[in-house]
Amino acid sequence: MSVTKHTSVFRAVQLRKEYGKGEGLVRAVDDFNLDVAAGETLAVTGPSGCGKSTLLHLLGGLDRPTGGEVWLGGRRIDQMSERALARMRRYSVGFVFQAFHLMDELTAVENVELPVLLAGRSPRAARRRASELLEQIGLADRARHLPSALSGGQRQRVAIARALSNEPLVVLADEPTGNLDSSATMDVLRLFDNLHSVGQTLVVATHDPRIAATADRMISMRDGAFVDETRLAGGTSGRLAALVGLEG
Amino acid sequence: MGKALLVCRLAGRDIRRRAAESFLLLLVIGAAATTLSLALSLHGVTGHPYEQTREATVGPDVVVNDLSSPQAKSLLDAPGVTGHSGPYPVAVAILRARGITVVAQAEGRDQAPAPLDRPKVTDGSWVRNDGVVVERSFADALGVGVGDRVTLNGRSFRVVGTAVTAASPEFPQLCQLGCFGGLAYRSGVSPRDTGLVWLTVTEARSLATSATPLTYTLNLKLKEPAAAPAFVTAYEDQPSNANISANMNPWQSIRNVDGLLVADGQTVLLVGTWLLALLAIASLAVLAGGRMADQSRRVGLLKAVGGTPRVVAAVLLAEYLALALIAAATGLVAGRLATPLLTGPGAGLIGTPGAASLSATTVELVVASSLAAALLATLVSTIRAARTSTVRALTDSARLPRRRRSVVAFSARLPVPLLLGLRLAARRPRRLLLSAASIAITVTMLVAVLAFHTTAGLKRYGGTSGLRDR
Repeated sequence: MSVTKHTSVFRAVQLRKEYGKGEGLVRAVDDFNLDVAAGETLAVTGPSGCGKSTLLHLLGGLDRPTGGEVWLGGRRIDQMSERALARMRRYSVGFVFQAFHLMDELTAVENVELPVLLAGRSPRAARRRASELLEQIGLADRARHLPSALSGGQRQRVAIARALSNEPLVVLADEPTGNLDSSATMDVLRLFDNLHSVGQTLVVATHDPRIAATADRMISMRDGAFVDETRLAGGTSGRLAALVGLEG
Repeated sequence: MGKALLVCRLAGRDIRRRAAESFLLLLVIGAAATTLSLALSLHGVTGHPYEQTREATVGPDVVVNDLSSPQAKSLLDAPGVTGHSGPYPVAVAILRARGITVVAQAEGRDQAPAPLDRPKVTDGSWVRNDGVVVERSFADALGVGVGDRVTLNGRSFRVVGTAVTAASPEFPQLCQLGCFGGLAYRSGVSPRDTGLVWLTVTEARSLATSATPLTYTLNLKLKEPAAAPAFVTAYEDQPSNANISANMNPWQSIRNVDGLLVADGQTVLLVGTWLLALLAIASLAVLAGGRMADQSRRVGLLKAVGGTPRVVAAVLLAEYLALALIAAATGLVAGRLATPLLTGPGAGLIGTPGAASLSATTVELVVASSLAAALLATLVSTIRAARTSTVRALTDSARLPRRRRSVVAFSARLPVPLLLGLRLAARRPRRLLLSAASIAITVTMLVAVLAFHTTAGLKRYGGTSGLRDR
């Protein structure tokens, strides 16, 4: 599915997510409006527990909102059936999680080809695609290793390759560098930079302002609500490492 | 194709990763499958040793016991009778050997081979003066062999041989088809402890007393051996034969009595199969429930990358169904190998039982039952997992415990270890129920096995233990 640059990929209208009731009611996302353009890198920042992850879950169809609307690629997804949502996630959304969430019993290449196989492609085509992606992220030599034999940075790169395996409309990354050291963080950021340069739409939730600085646009959240928005130019500057202060 | 590969791969890898749990599941389903396979395979194999014995001993089609007089002209002239042997005199005597007292039917025989019912000597030689031949299963129960001495009504005889016959059921089933129990009762012996010995006609006659007069046994050959039961019924129904006192048994009845213990075994195995199937379901449900809880993150991940609830359910079920298939195959093989252990011909017969009938129906039934057990036990957990919220599954958050006021109030009065134990158990009532069911079924099975053991002992030895153990 291709979307022309500057058209809206994501749109959230008065999005709400509430937990509990009565005095225990928690508004994790509170009347949130958002537009994400095709090819844009958006950073969602804010302190821990401000609702960043919940927002990403709602945008990616992992969770259902209490109110409001979510549109992805021109289709409203918040009212879809569970099955349709799963298919939408399969083809249109790639997720990258802080905890990697790789299948422990599958090798790196098998993890990457998992969404491709789910999409009904032949095992041979799936293996070819997974190998290409591992080559691109520099882990071709680790293809047959189990996640337990990979470093944190390598696992996250495998997770990113998996997120890209079905050429999704958007990649949603929830604290993708939260469990990584500086060097691994740089590897991941370089990958995101590459994705940005080829026009991949990217939404990154992070509480680290240095990571957020690499995006085209940064929005801040507090207590589930939108606080402010900043336009940036970091992600395309070509001086990523210096910008985020991870290299000298 | 791609999805099938994925489902198989995930199922296979998870089985390998949790080898111990998988082995336990395999064991539970395999035990049920083996028992079912055994029960189904036993069907129809018990007749073979009897038929081999019948052929080897020129077995009669109808045996007439307890004839009060050797005059049996009406029987010999009955339509359909083409041959006979006997009548042979039979004395009921007290037999003592190795400190054991039992009742023996001492049948007088000529030394020359009879045209019908030629007991096959399995050890030693045929009857001669002062020498008895003991029916093999009786000899086994008494623990006597060739060269030993036994007494019959106080007279000493040397055991000159052991033999098998198809004309009477093996020990201790001899009286299953009726025999004279008066002497046994008078001597304080269970009539079921009655066995068969052969000796010369003269010596058989000499054993008769006024209290236990001679009776006679006549063996008949029919034109149509398969119609022996009908012949017996027709003969007994004739009003003109009403004055003839005799106990007539077609060869089929003798065969059935010989297969009685195996038939009981088959019944027990079928009941056992049901119990094992229930145990398998309950244990599987407990194991699968615990395992599903561990698989929560896996489920969340599958959903996050686009797995529909159906795919997730397929992945989870495939694992258990694969284990059930392996268990069914193991059960079929184990059942086939174990069948001969239960269908041994016994000492009273020769030959070997026929090959266990591992028919297509047996295979289908065992496989279908194993799959059904696995499906029944895991369906609830699977559906629950497939319907779990993706986010909750990914975060692998524990389910909130159920708080029951009554449990809290009651447990508050208990010592701390009991308090904690009760409250923890109350958090998962379904699992608690299934675990309790597993234990209850296991205890039921143990009781059933012990009860069967006792019953089988009673049937086999006519008492609570074998003759030699007394």
